[in-house]
Amino acid sequence: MNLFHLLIVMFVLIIPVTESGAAAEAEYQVKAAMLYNFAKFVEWPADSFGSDSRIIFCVAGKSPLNSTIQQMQGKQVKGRTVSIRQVSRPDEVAGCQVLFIPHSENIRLSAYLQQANHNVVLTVGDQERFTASGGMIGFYEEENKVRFEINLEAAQKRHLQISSHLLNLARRVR
Amino acid sequence: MRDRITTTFRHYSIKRKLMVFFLLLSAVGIFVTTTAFLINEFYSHHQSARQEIKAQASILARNTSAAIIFSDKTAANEILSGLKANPRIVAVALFSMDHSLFAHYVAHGADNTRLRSEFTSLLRPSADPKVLFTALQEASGRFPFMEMRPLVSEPIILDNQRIGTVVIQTDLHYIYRELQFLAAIMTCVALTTFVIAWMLARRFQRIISDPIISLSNIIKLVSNEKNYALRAVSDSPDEIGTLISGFNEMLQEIQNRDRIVSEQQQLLLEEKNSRIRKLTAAVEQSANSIIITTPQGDIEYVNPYFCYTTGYSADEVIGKNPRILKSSDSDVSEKYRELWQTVLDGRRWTGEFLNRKKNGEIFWEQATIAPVLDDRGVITSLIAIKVDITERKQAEAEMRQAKEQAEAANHAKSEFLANMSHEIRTPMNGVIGMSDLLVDTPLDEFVDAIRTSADHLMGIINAILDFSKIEADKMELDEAPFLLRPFLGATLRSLFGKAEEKGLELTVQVDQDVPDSLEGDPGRLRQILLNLLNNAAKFSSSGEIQLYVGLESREDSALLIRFSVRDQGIGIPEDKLERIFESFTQADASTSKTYGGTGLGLAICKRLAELMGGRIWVESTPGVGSTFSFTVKLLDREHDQQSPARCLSFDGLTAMVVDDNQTNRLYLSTLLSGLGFTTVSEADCADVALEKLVSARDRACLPALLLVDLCMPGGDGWTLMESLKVQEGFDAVRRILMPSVGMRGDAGRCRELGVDGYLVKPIVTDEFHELLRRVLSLEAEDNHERWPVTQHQVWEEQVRLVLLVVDDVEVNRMLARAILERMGHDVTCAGSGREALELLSTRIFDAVFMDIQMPEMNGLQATAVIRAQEMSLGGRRMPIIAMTAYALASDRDRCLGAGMDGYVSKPVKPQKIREALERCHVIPIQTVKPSIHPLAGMPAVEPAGIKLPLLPGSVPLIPVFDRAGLVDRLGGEELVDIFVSKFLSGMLVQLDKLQAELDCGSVDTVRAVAHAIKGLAANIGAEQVRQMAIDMETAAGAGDLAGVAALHGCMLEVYEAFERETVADKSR
Repeated sequence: MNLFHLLIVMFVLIIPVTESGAAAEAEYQVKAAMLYNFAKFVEWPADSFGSDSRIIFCVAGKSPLNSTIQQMQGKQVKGRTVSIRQVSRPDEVAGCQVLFIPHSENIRLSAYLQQANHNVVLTVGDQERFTASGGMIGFYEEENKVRFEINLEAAQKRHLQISSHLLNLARRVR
Repeated sequence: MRDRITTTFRHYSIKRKLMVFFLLLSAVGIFVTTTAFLINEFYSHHQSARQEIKAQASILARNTSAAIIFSDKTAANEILSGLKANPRIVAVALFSMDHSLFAHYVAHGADNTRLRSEFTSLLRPSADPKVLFTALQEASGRFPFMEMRPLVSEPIILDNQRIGTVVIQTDLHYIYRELQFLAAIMTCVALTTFVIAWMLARRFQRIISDPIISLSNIIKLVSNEKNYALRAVSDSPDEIGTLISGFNEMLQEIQNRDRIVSEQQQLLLEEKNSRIRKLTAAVEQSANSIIITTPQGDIEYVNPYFCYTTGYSADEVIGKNPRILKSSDSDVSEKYRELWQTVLDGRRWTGEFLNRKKNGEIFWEQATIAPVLDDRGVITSLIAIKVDITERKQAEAEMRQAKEQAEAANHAKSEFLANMSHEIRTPMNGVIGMSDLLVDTPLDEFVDAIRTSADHLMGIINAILDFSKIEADKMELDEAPFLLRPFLGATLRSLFGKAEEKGLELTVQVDQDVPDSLEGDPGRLRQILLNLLNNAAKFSSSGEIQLYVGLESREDSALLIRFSVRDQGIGIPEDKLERIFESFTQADASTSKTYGGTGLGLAICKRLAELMGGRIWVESTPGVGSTFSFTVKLLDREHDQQSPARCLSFDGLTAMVVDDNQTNRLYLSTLLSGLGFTTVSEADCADVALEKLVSARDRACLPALLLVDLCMPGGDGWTLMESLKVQEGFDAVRRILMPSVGMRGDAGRCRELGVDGYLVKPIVTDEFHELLRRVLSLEAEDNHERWPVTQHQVWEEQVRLVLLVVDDVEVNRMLARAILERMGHDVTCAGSGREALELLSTRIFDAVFMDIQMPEMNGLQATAVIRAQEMSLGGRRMPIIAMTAYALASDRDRCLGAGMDGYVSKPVKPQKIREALERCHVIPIQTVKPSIHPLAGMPAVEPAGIKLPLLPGSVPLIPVFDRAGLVDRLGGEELVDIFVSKFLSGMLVQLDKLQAELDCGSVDTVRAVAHAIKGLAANIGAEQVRQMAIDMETAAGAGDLAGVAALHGCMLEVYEAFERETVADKSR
């Protein structure tokens, strides 16, 4: 299943936001966890980190991820402490290692992506055409399961190494 | 069990043992290797399997980490399905954090046999994964070796966080399969190796076992066949090779020994055989009968001689007892018993049997029967050796008879001789004795004739008796020691009278190498010498008679001495030379008429010489002379004799010899040179001698010693001595005069003329030495008053005895003492028999001179007592010599019968004393008179004194005082005066006694006194007095008192005459 389907499913799901709020919550819980785990399977170039031992997870806009991602705050990823940052505009992505662009920020997607390309950021989104647009990892829904797809090219452009293991799990790899 | 195996193993052959050993070794090696290998394989497989699983689990953990974290079961299953490629992985289970089964995989076709129970439970729908997880977790903690379905669990870690667990189960059965395969291969390999090992073993064990087996075979062969010539072959130098070499050497050794043993055995066998052959031959050939019987006496074997002797053949007697030979003539049961006893005891028996031959003949046999014993001493056989002694027995009987006859004849002969001796002597004694008695009668001429004839007859009888004694082998030789030179001197001296009469010169020469101390029969020797010398004198009218003594040969101490008597007489024609020693012959029938003689003398000499181990022969030229020589065997006793010190050194001295006889001069010169005199000059007459001496004096080289012969033509010795005394300058020369005959009065003359020594010829070496020594040690000053040194002095000092003189008359004692002391003896006097006995009990004497006629205890009684004491005390027999005036043979016999050993008649003379002592063996024999009876104390007849007859009243024919005789007996003048005065005082006593007894009229005492006077007078030399005393004694003995009274007056007269004579003497 591709991420597109996943997204559609997710839309369908999300449309009944209110009744599936919980479901949405659950979904974004999963995504948050996935996001956190993605970091475990990605290699950043050494100089892409700041002087401290943090790994910045940036969340763009407003989404349910914002709250769920908070759970990840302080966890360790390959020895680094996860730090969650809220990003409202694309120019704030500097210093982020991971950027999540929810589908709510779809409008600013290309801006974020562009901005992200100036830096070494792992871009993760759950838009339907995330990866087609140049995003690196896109979530999608399939059979009620959150799945993802990976744009390896994009990652490779930005010198991000994505583990084969992860790649194996992904739907589509470019 | 183990023992059985060990035993079984031991019983294997070497080959097998080696094979077993090798194979066992190989098997063990292979087995061990294989097993080790397999185990190793198993282990390593196991290990690798384990590691593999673990690796696999790790990989899976990593690979599935993403799937688990993203909960992508699909992905996870996909991954798991990739494990299909690994057939060994049986099942995998992925557990998420909550221990729920996330994904699982099970190999295709895995069933319960391969799956573990946990897994099968897990896969069941009703499974509770969580429980099972724990179980699995637990199970995976263990991974034992034998676990064929091991579990491994690995935590799935993502970013240092455990996100799940992966559990893998494998199936290790494949290992077994592998191992089986391997095992199979290994087994094949092992087997192959085993086979190869076996083949190799087979090949190589032979290196060891072959030599051993070969050796063992050889040994078996050797011991079975006893063939020690075999040898084992050795081709390797290792220990087996050494063993084989050693074995070979041993065999060689055995062979050698065997050879030696067999050689020795061979030798022994040969020896034994040879011995058996010899013994058999000895038995078979023996000229004695030999019978061998069983111990019971049954004949097993007889030798040919037996058959020959007895006439029985071997077959006839074998099995029978030798008793068959027994002749019925003898009873031998006793003999047999003794025989059996001896033989069964193991000893040899010898005896004689009178046996019977087969043909009935009787014969004597001497049988020696001996048992044969085996090693244990058991008798196995008896051997009898028999000698036919029939002839011997006969011979024995004949011999016995002959012996008896011979003995009888011999006995008869001895009896005859003894009888004859006695028969002849008795009348002879009568004749001689009677003629002696007739001496004082007017028939003196006739008496002389009778006496001469009687002597002559006695001589002939003695010769005949000697001869017959020699013929009858009854002559026994004496073995007495004697000194040669003195002996010769004495022998010759007895010839002097005759020689002097005929004007013959007597010389003697004894070789230096003839020793002086000899042992033999001097009597017989003297007999021969006297015979020869007398013959020489008889048949010579002029010239000299030389006696030469030389050493013919020597063997240790047995000497063969040669005596030669050379004369310058009529000689003996050649054709008579041989027969001259035969009995009863003289050279010429007419010789006996001219010269007399029995013709027996030389025959006796011949026999005597031969008896003494020598021979006699003669060389002669008629008209020139004859030399009679004989040899005798004498023993050298030089070592025994205590020679007087002969270390006389005359070295460097000079001497002169004056003698008209060249031989004498030569002899003396030789003697003197031998003694060390460097120069000996000679002169043949007094004048020449004087000339030489004068010139010597002038040249101041006078000789130290001068030896002068007395009888020389143209100036005798006396003349020379006179000249020397008168002339000046000869004081240093010691002079010795050498007459041929000792004359009375010469001593005095020597003294007057200053002659130092007086040596009567012939010169005897010992005396000569001693004389020279004395003479040369004299000082020149008291030349004048000295008596000359004579032989007697020299001679008589050689023996010193301790003597006892027993005589009641003092003068007699003194005289005897003087004479004996002069001879050099130690003299003690006793005045009576009793005193003598006392002295004898306190001191030891060498001999006693015992007067017979003594008051209280006479000599005979005293002797009897001494002898009785000796018998009871067991002492040595003391020689007692009678000293008496009794002169007759009967008196002698009485003395000897009383136990005396010798007899000296008064007047005692030194010569007689010496002879008596010699006869009693108190001193060694130096002068021996030929005696017929060894025990004779004196010849049968003692001349009773001067033969001049005396008629009553006629005095002048008998000297009043035989002074010279006294001096001669005393040996010097010194004591004459003393003795004379003693005699005179003694005589006074006797005369008084005589008077008294005459008045009493007791004839016996008168006789005794007369006897005493006789003795006294005889000793002193008052010859007339003596004669008177003899008459008186005879008359008194006849009881003629009137005659005695008449004689008494004469006695007084002659005594006074003596007194006058001696007084006159003193004043001279």
